[in-house]
Amino acid sequence: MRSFRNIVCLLLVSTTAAFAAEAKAGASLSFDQTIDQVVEREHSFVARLKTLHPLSETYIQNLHEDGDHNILPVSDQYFLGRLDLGDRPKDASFKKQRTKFTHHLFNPFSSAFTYKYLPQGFAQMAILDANMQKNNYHFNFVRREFLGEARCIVIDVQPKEKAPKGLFIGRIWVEDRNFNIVRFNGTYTGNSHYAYYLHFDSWRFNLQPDVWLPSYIYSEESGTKQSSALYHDLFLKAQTRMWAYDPEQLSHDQEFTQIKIDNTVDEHPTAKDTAPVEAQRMWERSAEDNAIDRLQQIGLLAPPGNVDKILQTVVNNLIITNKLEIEPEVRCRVLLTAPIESFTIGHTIVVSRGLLDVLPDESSLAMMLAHELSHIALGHHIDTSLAFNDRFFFTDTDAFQKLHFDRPAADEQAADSKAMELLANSPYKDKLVNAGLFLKALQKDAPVLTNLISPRLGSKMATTDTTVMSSVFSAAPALQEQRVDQIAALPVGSRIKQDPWSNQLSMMNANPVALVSAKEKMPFEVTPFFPYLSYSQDDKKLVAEVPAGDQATK
Amino acid sequence: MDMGKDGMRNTMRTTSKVWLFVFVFASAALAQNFVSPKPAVSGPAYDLSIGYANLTMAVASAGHANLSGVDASGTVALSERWGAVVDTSYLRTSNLMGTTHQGYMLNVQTGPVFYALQHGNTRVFLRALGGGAIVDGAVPINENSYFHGWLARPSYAFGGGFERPVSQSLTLRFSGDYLRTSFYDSTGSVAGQNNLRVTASFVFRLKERLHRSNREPW
Repeated sequence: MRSFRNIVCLLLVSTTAAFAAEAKAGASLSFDQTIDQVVEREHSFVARLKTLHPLSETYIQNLHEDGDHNILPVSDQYFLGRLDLGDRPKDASFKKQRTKFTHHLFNPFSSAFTYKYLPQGFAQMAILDANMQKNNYHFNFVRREFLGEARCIVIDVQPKEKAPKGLFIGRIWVEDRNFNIVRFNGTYTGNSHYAYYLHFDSWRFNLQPDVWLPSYIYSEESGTKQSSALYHDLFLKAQTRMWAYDPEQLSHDQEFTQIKIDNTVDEHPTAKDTAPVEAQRMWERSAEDNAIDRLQQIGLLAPPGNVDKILQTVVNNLIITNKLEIEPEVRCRVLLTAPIESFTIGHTIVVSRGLLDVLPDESSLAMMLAHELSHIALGHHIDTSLAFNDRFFFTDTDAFQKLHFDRPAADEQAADSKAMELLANSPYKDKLVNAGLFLKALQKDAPVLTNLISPRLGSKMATTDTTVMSSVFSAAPALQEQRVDQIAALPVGSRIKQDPWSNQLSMMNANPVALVSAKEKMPFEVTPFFPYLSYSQDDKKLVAEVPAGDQATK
Repeated sequence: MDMGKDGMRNTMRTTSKVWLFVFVFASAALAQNFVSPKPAVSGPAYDLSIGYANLTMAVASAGHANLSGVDASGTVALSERWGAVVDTSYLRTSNLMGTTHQGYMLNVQTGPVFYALQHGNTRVFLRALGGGAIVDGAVPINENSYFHGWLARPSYAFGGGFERPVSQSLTLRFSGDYLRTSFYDSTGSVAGQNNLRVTASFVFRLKERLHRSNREPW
């Protein structure tokens, strides 16, 4: 045992020494040598990325500036797909409905009259240059700067005069430990008369030891803002997120190797037969488990984690104060997508990341959870056909077509009434003003943000005429957009932080910000990313476990 | 007719070779663009053009006549390489083959345009058009007499050209088409006409570019 420990220590020290040596070498490298390292690392990055198949989600808001210079979203677009970053990026899209023949027939003509967004083009912004060649670019050192934990060398990159089209132009941030590009900000050269590259800010996270992978991309275009039948100009903001990199999460093969089967027979004295009611519950639970398992396997559902616990606490508050006895127990999970929705799968409440991000406070969350809890309390059953596993033999991208957890309108109304009862007995009963305001904001933007306020798996939460929880809606004061202290909804991406490798979620650790003007409220709006970059835990461990003196001497 | 079946066959053969040549070039160009990043946004792109056109028109039993006039067209891009074009030209001559007859041709056609090559700022395109033409002409019967009249019949054209921007929204376009129309021959029956049309136009792009600095005009 001791010898094993010694070997581990030796390996640790030698690896750290290698790192230290490399870092020391990095410090003494000339700028030209640094660029060589960057180019080499970028080639390894592209090669690695080609073997991965993350999910890529892009949410775009088209903007318009009104006469008072307020910039507001006027429409939106949403893409979710599984990326294949092979020689040419491909994107298998998740679609709610199958594409009809007439769509294929007339699709070429649709882009004759309006801009068409191309999902692969947004995903492409994860790659600076698929075949980066040093002699294609001019590199100019700008400064050194920290992006979170990562100390970076900031370099301006410009294609040379005779370089081919489609090269990156802009600025790159290179972490100075291993010379990985961790951020790049700019566009690609060479738009054609018909197709365009957008300006973008692309971020990579250190998801595995010495592996930095694309995670967030913010795109923005703000042209002349004029628009007429013949003169168009793009005016948009978009967020692209990538996750579900972990290839082991996509299959159960690895789990199989970990299973150990004991050659023992269960002779527990309490083993008993199953009563019909219990059998029915078990049947429903297996349908529920099958659906949850499949959604998690696809990468659409976060694995159980800290955010679920927060939701569970709120649900428990509602259960305890209402003396509900629900068997089997209620669980909470988070759907990883941006569209605002919540639904139940049997006794599991599922809330989308998009909904959690924009909810203004805990009471609003309680309202949404009370509505879903009411479906469970009222016995609105799961579709038990999901207990048959063959129902899940579909390709990942068909998930939105094959799985439906929406409820009939009558069930939704019954759940609303029950939820009001649950809330009346809960600690949230006097704190529902913001929840009502949230619903008002949701209804106001529902006709505009048709992709954000539109469920993929559950029921619609708001239309122009109605919302869920109409009693809470009616009791709320009028929306006053100019009031800085009235926060009806938060910008997209306000609360939840995601590990793009493991899909684990956590709450963002941001300082509260005092708003200067009502323009900063930005309900449901897309904002830029500014993540705190940190080195992966394994990398940190290597450095932390060896005393600083040792590093210097070795 | 001066251009009999053999002449027609030769013209068709030559044109086919030109098309084949350009398509092979286009494939090579597409292969070269393989590594360029995929764009995030496409469409819409329109342009209008107006220019000068010259037509060498075959006149039955009498050789060729030159007509000149205006050509106007509108193009809408349907993809990176494909577009749809509507083209109209009005061409006339004040003295057709020495007959003192003022002949003209009004042609309205539409069809696909394929952008086969893009080198720097210059684009090479191919197009195939179909529509109708009104031909007002004259056919000499003998040395002293001729008959004249007009005829409206379907017409088609195929050809290509190139265009090169000279400013943000202005482009120069040069094109040449084989144009097939119909008119009477000296026996009074309707016969096909093989024409060659060359056009030089100014093209006005009806859309602003996204990035005003550092970018190619298109």
